[in-house]
Amino acid sequence: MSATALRFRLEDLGLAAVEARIMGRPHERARSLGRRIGAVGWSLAKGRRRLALDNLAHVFPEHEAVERERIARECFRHFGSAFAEFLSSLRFDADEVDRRFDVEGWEHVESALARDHGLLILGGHFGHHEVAPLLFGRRLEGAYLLARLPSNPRAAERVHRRWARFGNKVVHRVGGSHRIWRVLKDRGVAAINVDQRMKAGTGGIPAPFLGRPALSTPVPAYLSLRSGAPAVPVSCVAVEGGRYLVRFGPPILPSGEGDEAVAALTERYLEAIGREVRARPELWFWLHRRWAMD
Amino acid sequence: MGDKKAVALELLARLARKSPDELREDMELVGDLGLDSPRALELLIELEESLGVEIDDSAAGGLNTVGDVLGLVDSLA
Repeated sequence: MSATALRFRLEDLGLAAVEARIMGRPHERARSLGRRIGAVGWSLAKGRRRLALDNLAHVFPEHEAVERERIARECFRHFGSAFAEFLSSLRFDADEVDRRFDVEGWEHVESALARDHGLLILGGHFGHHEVAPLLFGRRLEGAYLLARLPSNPRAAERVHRRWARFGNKVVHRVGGSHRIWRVLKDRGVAAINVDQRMKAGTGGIPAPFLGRPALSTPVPAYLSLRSGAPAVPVSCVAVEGGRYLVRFGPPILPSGEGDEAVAALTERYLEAIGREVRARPELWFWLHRRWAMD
Repeated sequence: MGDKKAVALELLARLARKSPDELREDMELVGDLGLDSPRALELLIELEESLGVEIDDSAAGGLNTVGDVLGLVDSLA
């Protein structure tokens, strides 16, 4: 067995153990268990901790260091809970999705769909974004999710099993944009996270995100401009009792053409995500090099 | 050269910001023409729209060179 195969196997054994523990308890317990996992992560992952604090110092220079540390600590706990609750969400049937998800701004989705050019749902690595697709599937009879799955095939299968429900289809980000084009052309619904870092030389464009230029994907804006599909920003946050609030914002309509229009639209998408992050900074994924230009 | 190939060459040249005369079949889309993934997506969509065809996802994934693109459009009905 190669070193990579061994690593994948060990990772999966760890995931299986956490999953077994989570699934043996009510969903409501997943949140507290996940927060404890996140707290351990804060203690052990010193490099990520430094990275989070450095990112926060650039975006929130006006905050005291102690406040930035509070946000970073809470961020670790939050993503522990998001991970645990995503694993736990496999148990949700249709009735449970209806019961656990409150929705605000659904009228924005309806007004965007009424344009009959398809719909782009724009998310970010914010809040409980991993469970939100269950609501998309349930309410929209399925959406196409453009996502980067884990390189570990066993972990990817676990993720896929949770998302590909209620009519959802998972489209791998690598090479998947063409498929999403087809979906929008057929007036379907696609969900994309737009705040992910792109490496230099892969087609990312520098767009302001939280006040700093960040290499960002131009693909959602390009697809919207070509297809005419409006984009509706979405956020999903946890509320009491193992429940969720999914909030849709007003549609962002495509206008103009060419690279300038793509850049302007991308900027508007990132502004929409950025507003959510500034309001609840502890819920965004500060643990990666989002503003790296290499 | 067929019309479809000429359309494809024009598109490739525009996206790579080169003249069609500068393109050779052995040129790599990424390495030689600088077509990153967003530009490659643009190429596929423009080809579909210009030629009135649908390009299969699996065929799209196998495009590495100018020659591959010309071969693909040649094979399209």
